[in-house]
Amino acid sequence: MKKTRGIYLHIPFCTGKCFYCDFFSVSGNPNDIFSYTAALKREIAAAACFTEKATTDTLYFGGGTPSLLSPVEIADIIETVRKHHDFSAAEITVEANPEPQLDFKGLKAAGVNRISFGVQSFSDEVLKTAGRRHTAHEAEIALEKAAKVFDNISVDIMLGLPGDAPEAAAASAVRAAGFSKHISMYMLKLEPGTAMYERVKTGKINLPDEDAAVDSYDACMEELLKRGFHRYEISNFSLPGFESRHNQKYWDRSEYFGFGAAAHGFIAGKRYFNPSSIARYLAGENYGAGRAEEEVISSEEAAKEAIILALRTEKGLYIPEFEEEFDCNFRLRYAEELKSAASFAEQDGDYFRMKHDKLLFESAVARLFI
Amino acid sequence: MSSGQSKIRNFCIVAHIDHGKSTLADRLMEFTEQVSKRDMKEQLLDSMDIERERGITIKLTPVRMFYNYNGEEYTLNLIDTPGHVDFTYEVSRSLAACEGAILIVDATQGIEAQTLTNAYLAIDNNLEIIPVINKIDLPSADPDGCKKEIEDIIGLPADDAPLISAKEGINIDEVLKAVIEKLPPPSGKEEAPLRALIFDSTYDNYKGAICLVRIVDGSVRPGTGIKMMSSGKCFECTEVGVFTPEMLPVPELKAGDVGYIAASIKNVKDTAVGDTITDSDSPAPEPLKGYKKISPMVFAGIYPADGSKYNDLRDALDKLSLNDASLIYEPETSGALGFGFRAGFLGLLHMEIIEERLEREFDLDLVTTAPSVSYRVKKTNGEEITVDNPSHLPPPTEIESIEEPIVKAEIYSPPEYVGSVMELCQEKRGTFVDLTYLDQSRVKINYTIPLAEIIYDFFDSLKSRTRGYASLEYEPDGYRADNLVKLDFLLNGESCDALSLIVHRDKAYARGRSIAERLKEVIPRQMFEIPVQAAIGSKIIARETVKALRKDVLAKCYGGDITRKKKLLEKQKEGKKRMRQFGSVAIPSEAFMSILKFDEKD
Repeated sequence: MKKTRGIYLHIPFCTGKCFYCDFFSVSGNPNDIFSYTAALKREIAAAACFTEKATTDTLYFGGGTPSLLSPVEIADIIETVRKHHDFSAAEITVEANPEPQLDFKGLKAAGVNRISFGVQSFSDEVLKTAGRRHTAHEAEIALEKAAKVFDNISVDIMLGLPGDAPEAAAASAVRAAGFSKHISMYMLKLEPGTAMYERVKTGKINLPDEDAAVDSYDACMEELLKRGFHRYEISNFSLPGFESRHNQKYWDRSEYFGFGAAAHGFIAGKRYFNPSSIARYLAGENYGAGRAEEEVISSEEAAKEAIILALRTEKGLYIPEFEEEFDCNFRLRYAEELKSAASFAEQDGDYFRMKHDKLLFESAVARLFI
Repeated sequence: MSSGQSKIRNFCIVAHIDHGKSTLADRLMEFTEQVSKRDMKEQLLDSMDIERERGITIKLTPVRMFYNYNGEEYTLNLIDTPGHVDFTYEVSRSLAACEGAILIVDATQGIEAQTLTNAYLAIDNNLEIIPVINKIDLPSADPDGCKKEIEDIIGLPADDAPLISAKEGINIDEVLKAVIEKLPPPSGKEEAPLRALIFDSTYDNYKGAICLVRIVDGSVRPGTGIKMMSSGKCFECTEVGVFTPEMLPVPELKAGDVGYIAASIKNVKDTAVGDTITDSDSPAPEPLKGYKKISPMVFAGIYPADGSKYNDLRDALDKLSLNDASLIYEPETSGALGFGFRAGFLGLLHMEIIEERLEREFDLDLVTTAPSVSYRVKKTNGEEITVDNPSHLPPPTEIESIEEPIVKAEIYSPPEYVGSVMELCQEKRGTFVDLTYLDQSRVKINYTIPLAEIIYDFFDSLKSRTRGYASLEYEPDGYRADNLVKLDFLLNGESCDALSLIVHRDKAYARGRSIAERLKEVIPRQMFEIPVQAAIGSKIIARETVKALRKDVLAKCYGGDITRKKKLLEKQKEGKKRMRQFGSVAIPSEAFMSILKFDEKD
């Protein structure tokens, strides 16, 4: 069974940097954005020449803040994708900050059918400390407006931010569920080099402890399950049928292009990394499949990745497919690891997966297979 | 040819740490053109990285120089010596190879603890002493005060002591002149059977173990059959030479010379420092007087972080001990740490340096236990034992008494901190001896303090309470009995031997509590709850809990994260491997040292 391909587009512009963010982003003026989208379109076209065509059915504008692009620019990019790739637009997602003034109708007309809002919290206090530039009220208005135009809305909630507590997190999840069919819940990982890291290190702010973040997660999950959501990956919840098709490609090792500065792609058994520099990207240096720095994934590495990525999902690893791809007997090849993992992970029919209540120990099992 | 010996002077330089010993040695070499200025690195005789970085001399290093005086060429053999209290032993060895010593006194500091110790050592070895007053270029220099101190305190005439600045190269020739005029030449018998004193040894991958020697009587050349007088082992000499300071082969070493002997000696243990080398064909009847072996003061367990590297660690210790006769070690086994060694050191600095050298020069990752001292334990059955590993202390019911080593501590501090210094000494079970106002800015405070308290966190506390102004010197002062108990730590109910400590009963509760708290911080959360308990005998005196882990997960994993995630997992796996498995509990290496960490709360 040939899996379909996905396309990720990185839009590295932001009006400001959130205190916890370690993604590649810069503040851009309209001129920069214009030259950047031009380069992006060149890469999209070039990629088609370098690689074999394959059915592509998801497109994901991530960032940065892709909603800084105008609907016209987005339409233009989608058009370029259509022109050069075998694209059937099953899912086109744009990440957006929850700002009421966004032109949702324009985005829809451009071809976008899914919006993913970086709401993070419905507590103004928490938003402020995290360096977010919107309020809970603005987020609600934006979500309300968007919900009138889009059926498929996703909301990001972040757990473990300074000032976060389980009750407040659960309340945020409940409010988010009122407007959306998909919710991503991320536990904050404090990254060195971020503004928040410095503030925490110097004692200016305190993070809730690990237990509080897990309590928040549990509280949110409880509310979401009550509302018909299900968990399909560690950090992702949705109503049935609204799972992110694009993100699932990462976990089942489908191919994907990554276009734009700092984007990563996985094509023909190789993972490539575009440079994290807009100047170099604009100059056309070393980017794109076949030209960027790349890592050839050996069969052995591929097998590891297949397992550790599938462990993140509720469904788990589909053993027959694994055995066919890697020409082995899963149970024999990993007898030792399976024994060590027994208290966390289980075989259930054709699947190998984390036990439902042990999903948050995914890394402990993944390490066995590394 | 006794006229040969009359043109030789063998001397060393002794001083308090930081009074400019290595700088003067450099200057002497430069002055005698032993090294061209171009090749001059700071502190030439300090060849180890650690020595240069820390600005201290650890090893003694000899160098041969030539100097023309009154139209005659003299050979000057200088043996540089360490200045830190930990290395007094090495000083005494080099003294035995010399006829004289230059005693440097810092013109701004005057006589300090090690000035005295080393001066007395030199006097004990019947050396002629030339006092030299250094750093006269500094504005605060007080050469006259210094001279008076030398005369009053040490009792040496200092009227014509050269006033120099080693740093600026001022009056260096006066030092050389004094060496030739005042120090006696060697007076060995050149025709007598060979007697060479081994004052140090080193190891060379090609030449084998090399003896650094002072030839007292006779001569030695390649081909000479040599015999170690203590063991009777014989070798054939393959090379003799001198230090320039690099090794330079010469045809022959004769009475009065300082140099090295190589004889394809495989085992460094065959080159015992203090032993006498003689000619195997015509041996000398009597060996030279050796010197007593100093006993180590501080003990710690040294284990490889990766248990499979035990053999590498043993080889590294073997090699290091070739170069450092004061390092002793023997294998030991710990329930928590597996196979390793218990090593004895001259002091804390020595221990730090050995650890650093093992890690740097041999690329080893180590786990070291908290340093301990050597206790004398009298058992109820009358037996007396020495315990340098707290986990070996017999059960309390078998102990009649425990004696611990005491040191004489000399603390110099500005007067405004005297109160806090005395308070600290009191807290550390010190006994006040006396207090002297040296001048308006300096007070000397004498205490006797248990060594165990000094090696715990005394130095850090002293520095923090005096804003870094106070300095500490100490020397052993016998043993004293006290109310000491063994403090154990239990992880998940099991006593972890590598964490045991011997402490005073009055402090056991506070120490137990604070260490349990610290262990809770450094032991990562695991799949189950881990009680951390401090205990005296079977009595639990403190308890903390490392809570069970709630998550072990990466928040996000999308396209760009996969490679990063794999690397992170690999790193985590590597980190887990480096942890010590103690029963069901994984303990990170730093836990064993963390119990030592300075904490002002204690």
